[in-house]
Amino acid sequence: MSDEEIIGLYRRGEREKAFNEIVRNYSERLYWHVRSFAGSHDDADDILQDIFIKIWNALPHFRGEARLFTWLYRIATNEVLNFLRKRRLKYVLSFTSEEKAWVESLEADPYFNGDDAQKKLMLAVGRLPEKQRLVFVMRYFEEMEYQEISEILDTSVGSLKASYHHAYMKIKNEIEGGF
Amino acid sequence: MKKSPFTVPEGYFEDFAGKMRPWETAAGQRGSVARRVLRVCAVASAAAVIVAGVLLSPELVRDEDMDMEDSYFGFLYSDLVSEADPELLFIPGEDLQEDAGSDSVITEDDIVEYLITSGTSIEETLQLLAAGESGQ
Repeated sequence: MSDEEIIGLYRRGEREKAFNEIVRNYSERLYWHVRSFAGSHDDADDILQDIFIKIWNALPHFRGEARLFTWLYRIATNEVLNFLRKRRLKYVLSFTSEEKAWVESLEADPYFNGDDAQKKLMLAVGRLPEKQRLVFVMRYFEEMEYQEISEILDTSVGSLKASYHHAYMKIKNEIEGGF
Repeated sequence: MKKSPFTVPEGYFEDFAGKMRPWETAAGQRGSVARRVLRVCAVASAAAVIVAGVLLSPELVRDEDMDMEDSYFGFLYSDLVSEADPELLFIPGEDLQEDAGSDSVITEDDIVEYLITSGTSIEETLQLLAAGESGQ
């Protein structure tokens, strides 16, 4: 079902059916959007559930000014940022190194089946500041167009390109330098 | 989309659609209540340790004039954490610093973010960074 049909369904009062279609169409895509930030599948599952609960609660307020796709991704991205900030606070309170925790979670993750190069890449991505990490993940892994990312993050295409370039060079130097 | 190095449990996405029924759960809360409870308990335990450290540490000066920031740093340097890895006591500025304009340490990434958002071109940004590194 297309986004327009889903919105039409919702506006005709079939809220649950419309929501089910959104889940069916977007759950996998939003999961992969979240997974590069979550330290584990369980965390990603938690975040994804939070995202769809927010979507359900926010649907009455969707005015259709942005595309449904953009609107859903904005909610998802905000949840990811909230998760990262809560996790950082948890590490601060427990005097844990965030970087060390990220390395340990990746090494202990039973659902990570990448090779050494991919592991180095994920570790380097994990060291990026939040916003660069978002732009890099959306551009490199999700292969989104800059215009799409611009609409979701409400940032100019030029700024995104510069952020991506900086993130890319940083990761390239880390991987080649063997940190 | 590039193939992810992560996998999911078998049937995860099929099951996910079935369990997402926020109109049935109280206030739209997600199903993993146990995990949320455990998480809240973990944070509460960490907070309790900090409070206990502040109250019990003999190194702290119990001065009524001491503000919260002083007691926080007083706790950091108290005997309660002396056995821990010293490096863990010092949170690098880059781990906390995400947005330009924050009060904590300014990192190179903050400078880059600022230059980018102020409209500086990539070439100028790289030139400025190179000049900074050479100490000019």
